[in-house]
Amino acid sequence: MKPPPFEYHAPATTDEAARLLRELEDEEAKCLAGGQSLVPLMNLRLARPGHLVDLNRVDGLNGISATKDGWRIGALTRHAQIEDSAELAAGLKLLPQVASQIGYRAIRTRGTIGGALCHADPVAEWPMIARLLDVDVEVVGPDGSREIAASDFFFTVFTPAIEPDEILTSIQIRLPKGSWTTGFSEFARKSGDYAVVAAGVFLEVDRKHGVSAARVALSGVELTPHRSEAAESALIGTDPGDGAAHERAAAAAADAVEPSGDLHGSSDFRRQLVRAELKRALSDAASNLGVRR
Amino acid sequence: MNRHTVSFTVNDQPHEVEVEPRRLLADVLRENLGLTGTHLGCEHGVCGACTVLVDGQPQRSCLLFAVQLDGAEIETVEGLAADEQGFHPLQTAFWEKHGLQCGFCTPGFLMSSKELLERNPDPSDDEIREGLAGNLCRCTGYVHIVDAVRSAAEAIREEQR
Ligand SMILES: Cc1cc2nc3c(=O)[nH]c(=O)nc-3n(C[C@H](O)[C@H](O)[C@H](O)COP(=O)(O)OP(=O)(O)OC[C@H]3O[C@@H](n4cnc5c(N)ncnc54)[C@H](O)[C@@H]3O)c2cc1C
Ligand code: FES
Ligand code: FES
Repeated sequence: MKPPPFEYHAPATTDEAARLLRELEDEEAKCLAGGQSLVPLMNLRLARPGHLVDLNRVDGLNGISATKDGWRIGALTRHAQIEDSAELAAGLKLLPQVASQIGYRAIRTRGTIGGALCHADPVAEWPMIARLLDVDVEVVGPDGSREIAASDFFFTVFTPAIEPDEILTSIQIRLPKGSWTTGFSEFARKSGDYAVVAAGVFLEVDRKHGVSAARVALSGVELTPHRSEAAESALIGTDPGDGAAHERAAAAAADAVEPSGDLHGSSDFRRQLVRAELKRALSDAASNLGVRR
Repeated sequence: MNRHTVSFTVNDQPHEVEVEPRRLLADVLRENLGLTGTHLGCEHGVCGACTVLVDGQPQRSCLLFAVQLDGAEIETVEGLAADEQGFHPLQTAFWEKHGLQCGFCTPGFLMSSKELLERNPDPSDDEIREGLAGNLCRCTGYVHIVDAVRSAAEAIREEQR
């Protein structure tokens, strides 16, 4: 179908964009980033915003930069830019690895990381990775800026904890000092489809004592990205390459979730996938060890 | 009045159109400019029939508003064979390898393949399948499409040697 009518605004600064969002709040103004989630919803007439505030011409929202303790990624950075980034391939290869799994190239050249976080789809990759890396999300509103921890950002399905007149401007990724490794795996029906379940792991590793801190995140099991404390505690003190430890952690994660079933997978199937994908993500993390990625 | 004037090029030809904000790029191409080679299947990003290149990048013309594209360079299937010399190697290969039956999906496959081969001039069959996973074909079963893209890749590499 065709989208319903709306008025179009193309501000040049975030301040101007936030002001427009506030002024037009009663007429359902919405940000337009890549449009790869919003425009399908409009074409299907499931969304009928009165105004679109296009962020694509706002200065300073796009780009990847190294910071003193990690990375800053601008909200308008396209999935394909992350996929193609040589800097990230060398510094945090998890991000290009994940980006390459999102939809198809024609979606990735347009869709943005900020848009994916604000869309807050429970089966999307970026919200899960944001929880995994405990990123801070920077938002700007008419009254200034604030940072929101990823753990507070996903309110419920399709609902981020930001105000209608706030704009997500960047995410900050802070990495620990010592040695660490990352792993990722997902199951999708066909290449480019939304994953039914995806698993991400971030392990801090001490040469003597094995895994000293573990983070495990899952998509597709709850209304918001899930952090598996059961798997995290099962991993502490284990050898990061120990397959039996992977199996125990994966089983613990699967036991602790109660996914609801839908068209794409029953509850049981999803629980099986948690176990399979987490095991794969853990062996991915083991194989990435040593190479500082 | 809620209309905007937008200028961009399509296949190197400059165009200026006056559009309502909700006008999709696909509809501007087909209806304002008469370039009906770009097809619309699903209108929500899934089928890939409407894929065109915007500033060299493959994008869904059903998910872009024309009003966003002031200054853009757009390439459609009509631009592939724009010179008088005949078909683009991809078009020749689709013909020779039976890469189409009804042809509805073909413009999208051609545009996606063009960009795929620019990024990866010598793809494996798996890479071709992965690269074209975002284009749906209800007729061919894909085998001949993969053959066509592999054959076009060879022809283009040969041409550039
Ligand atoms: C065929 C297809 C397949 C896909 N497959 C996948 C997949 O496998 N995995 C996946 O994760 N995604 C997938 N997507 C979705 C894609 O990743 C989107 O790009 C993403 O979900 C939304 O990002 P966007 O920039 O396109 O946002 P938009 O569609 O522009 O916006 C989405 C929502 O976020 C709001 N918003 C956007 N940016 C901001 C901001 N900076 N500040 C405040 N609010 C903002 C908008 O107002 C809107 O409500 C797919 C999409 C399609 C069409
Ligand atoms: S018509 Fe655009 S992707 Fe199907
Ligand atoms: S040839 Fe008919 S849909 Fe592909």
